[in-house]
Amino acid sequence: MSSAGKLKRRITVTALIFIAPVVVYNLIFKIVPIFVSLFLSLTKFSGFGEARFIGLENYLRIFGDSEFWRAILVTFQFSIEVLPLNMLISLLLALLVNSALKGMGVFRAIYYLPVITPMVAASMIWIWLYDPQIGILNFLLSLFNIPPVNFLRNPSTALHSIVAMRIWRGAGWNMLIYLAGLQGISRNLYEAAAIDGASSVRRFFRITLPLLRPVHVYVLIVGMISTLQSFTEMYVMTGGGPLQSTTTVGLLIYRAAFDYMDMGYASSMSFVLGIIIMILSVVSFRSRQQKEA
Amino acid sequence: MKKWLLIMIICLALGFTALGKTKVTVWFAGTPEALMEAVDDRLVPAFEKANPDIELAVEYIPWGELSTKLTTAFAGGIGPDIFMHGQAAIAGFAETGVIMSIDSLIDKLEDPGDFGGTLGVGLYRGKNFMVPVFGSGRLLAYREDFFIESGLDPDEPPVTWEQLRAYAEALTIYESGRLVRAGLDIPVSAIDLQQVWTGFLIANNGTLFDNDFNPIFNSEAGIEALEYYVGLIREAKVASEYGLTPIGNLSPIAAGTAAICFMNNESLAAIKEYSPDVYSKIRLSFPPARYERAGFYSFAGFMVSNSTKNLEATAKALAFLTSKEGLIEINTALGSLPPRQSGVEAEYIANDPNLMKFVEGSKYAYGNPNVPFWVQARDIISKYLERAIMGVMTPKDALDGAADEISKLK
Amino acid sequence: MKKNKLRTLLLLSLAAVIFGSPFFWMVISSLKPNAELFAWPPTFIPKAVTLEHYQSALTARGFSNYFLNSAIVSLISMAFNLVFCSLAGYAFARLDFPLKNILFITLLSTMMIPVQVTLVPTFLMVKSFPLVGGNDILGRGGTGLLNTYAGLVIPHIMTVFGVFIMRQFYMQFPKELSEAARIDGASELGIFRKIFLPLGRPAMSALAIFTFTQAWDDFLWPLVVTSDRSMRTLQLGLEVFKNRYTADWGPLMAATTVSVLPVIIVFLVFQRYFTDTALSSGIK
Repeated sequence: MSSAGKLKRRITVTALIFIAPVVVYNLIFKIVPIFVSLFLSLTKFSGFGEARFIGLENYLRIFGDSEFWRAILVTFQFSIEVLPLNMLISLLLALLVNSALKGMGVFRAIYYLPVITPMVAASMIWIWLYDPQIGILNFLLSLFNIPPVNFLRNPSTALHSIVAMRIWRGAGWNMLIYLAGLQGISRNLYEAAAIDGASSVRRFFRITLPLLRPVHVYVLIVGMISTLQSFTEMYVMTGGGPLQSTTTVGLLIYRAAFDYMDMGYASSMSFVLGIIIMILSVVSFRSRQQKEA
Repeated sequence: MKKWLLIMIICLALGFTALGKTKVTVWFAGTPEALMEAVDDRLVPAFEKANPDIELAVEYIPWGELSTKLTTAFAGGIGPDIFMHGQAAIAGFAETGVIMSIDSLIDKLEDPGDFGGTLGVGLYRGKNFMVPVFGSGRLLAYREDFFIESGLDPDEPPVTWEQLRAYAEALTIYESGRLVRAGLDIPVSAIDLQQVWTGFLIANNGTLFDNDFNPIFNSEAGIEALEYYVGLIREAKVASEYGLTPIGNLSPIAAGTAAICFMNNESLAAIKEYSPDVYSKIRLSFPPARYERAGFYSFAGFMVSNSTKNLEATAKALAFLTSKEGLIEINTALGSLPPRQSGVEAEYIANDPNLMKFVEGSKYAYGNPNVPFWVQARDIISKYLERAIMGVMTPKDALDGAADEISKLK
Repeated sequence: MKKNKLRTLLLLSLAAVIFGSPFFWMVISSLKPNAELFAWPPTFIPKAVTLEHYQSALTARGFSNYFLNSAIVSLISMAFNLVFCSLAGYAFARLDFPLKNILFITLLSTMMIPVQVTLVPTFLMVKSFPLVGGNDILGRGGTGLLNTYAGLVIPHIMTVFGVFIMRQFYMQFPKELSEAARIDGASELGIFRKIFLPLGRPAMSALAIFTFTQAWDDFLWPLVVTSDRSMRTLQLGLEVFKNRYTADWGPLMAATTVSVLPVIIVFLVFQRYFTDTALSSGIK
């Protein structure tokens, strides 16, 4: 074998050893349950007793289920509103705290706090914030003589209000990722550009942003997966109302599985959602891949 | 020689009893410290002492997670022998064969007649599935200081629907178009809406379902009840169509943003704890009547799973936990309404005039109907009621739409 | 120059207020007596300070157990992820091997099915794990990995999500870096250990924090996989303070504050690697 061939084989073997634990593990504990769920989606199953095979009936039911498609729209709207703002704010925060100054750690920790504040506390505080009678936001509005807005109960504002909370909650998370990504960019590049006379804005757009591309891909795809599956915020803040304006597909799935004991239908909804997410992810992934090439 | 023999015999005897121990698992809903103390420290040891061959394994599951936990446990074949749940869950569990009928176990309970009407709460398709353990109810609550302010007599709460509306209008305060105080805080969405509106339906001589589980709430009585409810909000404007939200344990009536509301005993107890100065200003009265009064009461109780292995031991545990003493322990810990008539004599109730009022109000009680798909039906009813309240549909169309969608549930 | 610093400080503080105030409100609330908790108008500086809620929370049944369990589960998850996700992420990012992209996309796709529905099948698998917890070789008869630490860590170790972070991070570096090392005669393992492992510190810090956070904050899985009270985790423990219609807000706020502290500590420990200036200048 040529030395190039030997090298190739060495690399392949190393790679396979490196990825083996993760791949095997996820094959067992993630892929198998997914296939079981796929099977369940073809049955009528309450979670107890027998799963009765009914073929594609669940999927046909989804097709005619207006509530499901309404939820898809809500879910997409939620995702579209959250993602760009989230990415922007996280990136700005990361740039802000990207220095080795003393005390920067404290600021980073503060921005990370919303991520780790348990939902039970965060939701209570935001519900208070939004309250039309005794909430701070409406108090501020009243100072400008603006009539009170019932943020969480008015169908036109409910979803946006949850979007704001979600961005607040998720910014610190992506900030960390961007921060890590920023460290991967060589200082030398910045110095060279500075010597050449490039302004900091120009350096940002010409060096930082492009070199962060792999990180963007990550933030976008994980953000998409997470926002499209979201249900906890809606469940806790509005219960899916008012008038189903905050009912996401994730919420419908949860209800079907655990409140209505309709596991089969819940599984089929999950798969439809999962396939949509998959298609979107592959598209984002591929388009970024091509850009990199 | 004799000593060794004696020791051996004792060891064998102990060994046999250890081998012979049957385990009964009981899941309680709710995790308050007082409850765990009452059960773990007093009830379980007492039971195990009286029944040395049975081990009572108790777990406490938070209310919000009951369904998830039960579903996964039963799916895995490791469900509990006895579990507590709200009455609303009976129909679903009975239909899917998760729970067994307790008809055969009733005569093993201590003085079943002592339960009175509450034992009937668990009836589904003619069979009984639940022994009630604790209850909560809703009564009309109002701020006597606001009554006085608006020139109303706090000793004369509203009795009829017309009075309720008139009082609420007198108590409502708007300042430059902003609703500062709602005369009447009534729910406008979710489970609360269905529960409270049903009271108006029943007070108007209507019912939710007929004996064959067909929805009949879209009758004349129902439409009238919904028109009245919607009228309170959209015409009289005594409440906002968006409703009022409690912040933590601060309910609108305690915050002063509402004058009257339908309150349950647990929330009232929270007000006592968290807004003590307001608590003394709150008074209770029975829900207003059209043809009769109707207040929502619900019971949670023990159900027995079909997969229980040792029915005799389970029955014993069930009887013990629902005995007079057992229920007094549990209800004292929870501060809730006892299902047994003898339970009213417990100290914590006798000393609390508000709780006594709740007990008294149970004569007007209505609960959830035990129909198949109740949980879904309830959500559908709420959904359409909300639309009527928001003005998106007329009351008649809303009720017809709900009845229609429910009929399609199979 | 000073104006710049002032402006930065202003921005930092403004952001701190936006992101931090709910948390600080929670802490302040935990120190207020019940009667003041929901007072209107709300008091920003408590009129009366009490430690009674902390006392209730910390002495609540099993609380110290829950804390310990969460700590064990989170630390184990963190350790596993740091080792295995960085290896795998590096391989996917910088080594060529057949079926690389397909394997990666397959792994990614496992993240896309909502957890509500894989919950029951995963639970069944854990319960039927052969030869543990009283199970025979076909996984029948006992409770498998239920109520064990192994069962609790299952969703958090070797996560695809962790592999994804490491892969994207490692993709940022130029190919020449690996190639130069290979020309110099370094072994594959050597390249990873000597060059990319140190370079990976910022991403691994992020990974450590994330894994710890996710394992610490997980509620649904521990709920389902433990029935033994002694194995419960902290998030479940917080539920103890909630009732059917109301909650014990005082002890809840106190317990919540206590539950956030370990994550903050882990965060502060690892976050200094984000500005390890020695690293980024090392690329020649």
